[in-house]
Amino acid sequence: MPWLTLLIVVPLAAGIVAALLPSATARLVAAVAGLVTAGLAVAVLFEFNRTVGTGQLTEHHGWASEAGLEWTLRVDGISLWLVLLTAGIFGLALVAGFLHMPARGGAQYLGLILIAEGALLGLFLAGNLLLFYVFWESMLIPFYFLVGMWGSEGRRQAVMRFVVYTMVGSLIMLVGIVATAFIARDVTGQFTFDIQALQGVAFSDTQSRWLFAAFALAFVIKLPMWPFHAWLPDTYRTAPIVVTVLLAAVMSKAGVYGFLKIGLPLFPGGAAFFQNVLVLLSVVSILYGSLVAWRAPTLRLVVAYSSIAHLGFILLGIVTIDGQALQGAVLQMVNHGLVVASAFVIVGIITQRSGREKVADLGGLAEGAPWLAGAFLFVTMASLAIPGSNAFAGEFFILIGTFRHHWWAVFLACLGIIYASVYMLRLFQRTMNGPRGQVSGSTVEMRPGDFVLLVPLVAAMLAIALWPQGVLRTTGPTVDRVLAPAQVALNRPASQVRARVPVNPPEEALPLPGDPEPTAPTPQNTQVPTP
Amino acid sequence: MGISLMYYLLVSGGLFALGLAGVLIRRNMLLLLLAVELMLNGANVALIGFSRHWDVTDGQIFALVVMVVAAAEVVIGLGLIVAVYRQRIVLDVDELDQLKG
Amino acid sequence: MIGSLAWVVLLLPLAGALVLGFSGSAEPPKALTRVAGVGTIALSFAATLVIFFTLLGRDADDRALTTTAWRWAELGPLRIDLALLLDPLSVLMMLVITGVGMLIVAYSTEYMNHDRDYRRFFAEMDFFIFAMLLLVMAANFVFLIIGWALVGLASYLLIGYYYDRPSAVAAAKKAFVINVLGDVGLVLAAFVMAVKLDTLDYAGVFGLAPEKLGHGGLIPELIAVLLFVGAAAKSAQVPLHTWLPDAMEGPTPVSALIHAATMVTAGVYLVVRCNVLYQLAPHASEMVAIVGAVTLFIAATIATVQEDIKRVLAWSTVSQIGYMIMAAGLGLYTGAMFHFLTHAFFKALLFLVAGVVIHALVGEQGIDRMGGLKKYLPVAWATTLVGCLAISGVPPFAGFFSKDEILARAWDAGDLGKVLSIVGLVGAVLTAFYMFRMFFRVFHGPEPEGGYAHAPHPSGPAMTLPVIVLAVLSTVGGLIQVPTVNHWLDSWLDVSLMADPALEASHATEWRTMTMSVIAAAAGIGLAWFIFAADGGRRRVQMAGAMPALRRFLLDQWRFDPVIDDAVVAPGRDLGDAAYRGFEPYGSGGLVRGGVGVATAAARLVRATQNGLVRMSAFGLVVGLIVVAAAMILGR
Repeated sequence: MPWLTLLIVVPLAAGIVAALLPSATARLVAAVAGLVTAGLAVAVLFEFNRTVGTGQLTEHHGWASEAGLEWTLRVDGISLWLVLLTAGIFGLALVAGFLHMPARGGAQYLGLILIAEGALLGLFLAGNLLLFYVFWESMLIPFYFLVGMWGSEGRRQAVMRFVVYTMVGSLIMLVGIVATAFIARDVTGQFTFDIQALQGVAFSDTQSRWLFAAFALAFVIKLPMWPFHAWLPDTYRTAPIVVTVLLAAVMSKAGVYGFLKIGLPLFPGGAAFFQNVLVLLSVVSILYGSLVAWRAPTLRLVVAYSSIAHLGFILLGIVTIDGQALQGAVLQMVNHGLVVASAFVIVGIITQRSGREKVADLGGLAEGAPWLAGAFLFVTMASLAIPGSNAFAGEFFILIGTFRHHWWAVFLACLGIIYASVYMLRLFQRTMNGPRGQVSGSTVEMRPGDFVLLVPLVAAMLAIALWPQGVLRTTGPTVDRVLAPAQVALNRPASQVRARVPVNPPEEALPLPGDPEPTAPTPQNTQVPTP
Repeated sequence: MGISLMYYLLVSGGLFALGLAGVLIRRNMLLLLLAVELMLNGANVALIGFSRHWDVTDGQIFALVVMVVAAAEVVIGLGLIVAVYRQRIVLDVDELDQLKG
Repeated sequence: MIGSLAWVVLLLPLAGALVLGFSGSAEPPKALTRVAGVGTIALSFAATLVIFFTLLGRDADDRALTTTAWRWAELGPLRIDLALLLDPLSVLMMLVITGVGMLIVAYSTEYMNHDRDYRRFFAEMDFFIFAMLLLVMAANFVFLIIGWALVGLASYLLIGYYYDRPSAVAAAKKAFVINVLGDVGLVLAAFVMAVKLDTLDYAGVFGLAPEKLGHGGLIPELIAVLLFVGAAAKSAQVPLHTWLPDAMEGPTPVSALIHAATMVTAGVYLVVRCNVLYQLAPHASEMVAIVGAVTLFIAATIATVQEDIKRVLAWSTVSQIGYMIMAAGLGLYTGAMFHFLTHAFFKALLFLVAGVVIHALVGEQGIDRMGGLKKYLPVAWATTLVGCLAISGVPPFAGFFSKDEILARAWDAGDLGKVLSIVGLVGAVLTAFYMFRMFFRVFHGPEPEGGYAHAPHPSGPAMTLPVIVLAVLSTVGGLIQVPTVNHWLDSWLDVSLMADPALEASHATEWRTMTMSVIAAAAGIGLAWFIFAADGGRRRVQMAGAMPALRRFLLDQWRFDPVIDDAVVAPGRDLGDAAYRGFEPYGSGGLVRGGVGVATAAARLVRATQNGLVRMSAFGLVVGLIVVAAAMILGR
């Protein structure tokens, strides 16, 4: 079965169909398509061979082959979890859409969500730089309309800022993509955009740095990382809450994924060169996001800025270039998706039913809304990464790995952990505890539809909290492979490099695709035994 | 060898300059169209002149193509003028500044 | 067999918490809540007893075992299992947690009877006991940290039990944030261990540390200090102690269980558990001992001026934990655990009796609104007397033996030990003084002006019985370890204390210290009697104005709160405000707006050329043509 193609085509096709149908049918079509896609993602999980670190379930078809554009799809240990996250969160969003459709243009709304899902899945599965770029840009289109048409006050300006901001980054990335292919042709004699075929190309230091910078700029804007986050607060504030969930939980992972898929494996020299800058900027993101979240006035902004801090942790785990940290970062990508999605769902419940956006207007909601208070408490604790939560596992591993190389960054990041407890408790206590505010708790209490959304999210968080190894054992080989070139570029001790570094053009025979080679490259024993 | 290339080019340049001047200073659309036609024919003369000079037929073929295109263009141009005339009465191009930025 | 029983002990309270937490929106019948809330703890205690006696029946070397559920995470060489460790130390803690916990939860069935959210209270108490059990039963640092944080969460929930009361909410937040600070200390220590040793199992760390880290080096000192940050935050040691007095906002049984008997002593447990690491870090150990001594002194002085019965006990708790931490820092691990054990009995007792008094007075907590209660509450009077004698160190009550063991052995533990031992003796005087100050003012002396609104009523059996049991334990609990007679605790804990220096006091020191501490207790009690009881309480009124500066300083609790607020909290808050108000709109937002502005201005310039005139366009064309032609000709 062409699982990967189906994963992309089903939501895209269903999206186009749904947009044309009357809304009563459209919502059924959309919900079914969302669940089918989620089912397909689970099927991929079962088809996946977790001992292999390279891309697998490969599908390859020509498209505009003369221009280098080919329909190449692969899934590896990292994209597997992002695909599951995407399909899961979008599935929930579509179910939410089934339960509460917007009054105006509901069919188009659901159709656009499905198209966004298809584009994001395509991005996570793309095995070709041009295809990656096509999906990277095409996911902007549905989000543009979703925010621009169904958003709240100030949406036009916000969405323009969002689109223009990300376009700046992605156009520079396009230049980088083309340059990569041409420079690689000069080195290897082969003109290709295939990501796997481009690995190990011996770029010169200067080339590697510039190319890495071109890609990294697009990625850090998408994340976003401080100081490139200006698009985020307004977009998260004005977008419909479901779209905010999708942006924060799934789309933000696109930038992180770019570093893992392209940044580190293709341009290890550049990654090594910019490492310290990126570590510093991620720490700044953590502290800045935490501090602003502490003082932000509205519920949504608190969660939005906390998201900047959390993504800072994830980026820290990546750019520190360490196996344990990167394992933690991949785990944390899934965790952050789950946590921020449920946080926004709860914020959405509170703000929509109470009609209040400001933290100061609320208070004492726990009195009439015990279930909501319980769920909110759970999410608060997961968000501040209390030990025992799923997010703790991720942050713990990230920081262990970071500690090995940048202990100062860990001490600063720990300040972020303390601030996280401050701002999340502020949010929780100001809304749920204390004297009653302008709204009584019973108006915001959870309804059956809310349980449909929150129960799967909470269940997934608990599962990861109890058994993170379930994720880690799948991502391990991929992480080792992604990391190895950058580790070599940084002259890390051989004991830490746990995968073979590809060489392109190959000095000897190419390793077979999917070659399981978990051990470190041992130096060749050059001593000839004396007779 | 007949007339030297020089005279062709002089006539061609003269016609072209006349047409250009017409385009730049005239405001009536019909006259504008006429002036453009003059410029085209100035170019045609140059093409034919070069064709004679180098003794290849390419230039003459080009000239024929230009004439056909010019005829088509006049048809469209006149059609547009009629349409404008029906809508706006005036044929003064300076009044038609809807594309002003 | 006892391996699986360990999981039963751990999970029963969790099951109780979940059943109560998810039993629907409506309040279930109270009888059901009692069965689920108390029954699970009682079963857990029974299972712990089985484990205890099984281990007791074994050889000393055979008393530690690990039981693994599954591999939690594997990151390269670092392997972390979800595993429990049963050894004498953890079993001792489990006995106290489930045993004292059972008594206190049973007590609560009556104490909380007329309070709000009956079910939620028991759900949260059960959850606390689960978390505390996880803390002491964990077999590696990761699950220690998880338990550590979850007890913090339970403590947060129970301090903020009356969540519509702003002071309770603020106290809960303060406790939580300071505990997160402690968590961070532990987590950092775990990072150092993971990076240096590639393991986080107790067995692995304690086995490898002496060899790989060496004695007295920077790394073991760093680990020990970071671990102590966690211990200090949890055990309310200076300067991270400010949350504990505020934590008295929670219901009284919560104060008894969490903020006296069990959770706050987790720091002691941690230092004792990591005795191997502390023996490798002599400087950090000295620091621990000094912090403990400083804390015990500061807290004891503050306790002498408190007017709220629960805050007296809270400061007394801080002070008593200071003794334990001091002992642990000096290497007197058995002494620390011994004092933990007896303190759990007498402090839980004192809190529960305080609860009886508060219950009798319908929520009144100020001791100047009390007095002469002996005739109304005779049982409470007798049991409080037992508790006060025990904490003051009067023989033969439990506190006498444990405190004496610490002071005597400290005296023989080097120069620092001598100094700290003297601090401990001064603390003992203060302890006796403030405890009997409270005792005399509450049970003797005149009744408050205007008398009591309702006649104070004695409590029912569910509250009285646990109090009496604890009073008995406070009386005889010290006999498990009597100097020169028996050393049961020493031999029991021997397996867990892998690096115990096994300090012993000489007979001479033993007798001298006993004499001194009896004199100290007598001096404190005598002073309290002289001021608060001898003259029918009149002398207190005369002395109320004495030494106003000192009194003010003590009432301000040595000014820790405002200083910490100015030095730590305010800068972060101001930075956050500056970032939100200053940088967000102008810095990052300004970057965007600036970019947009430049683009707009450029567009405005270009727009002037687009006047819509055909002739202008044509003219532009010609000019362009000329420029291109000129370029081609000149460029040749």
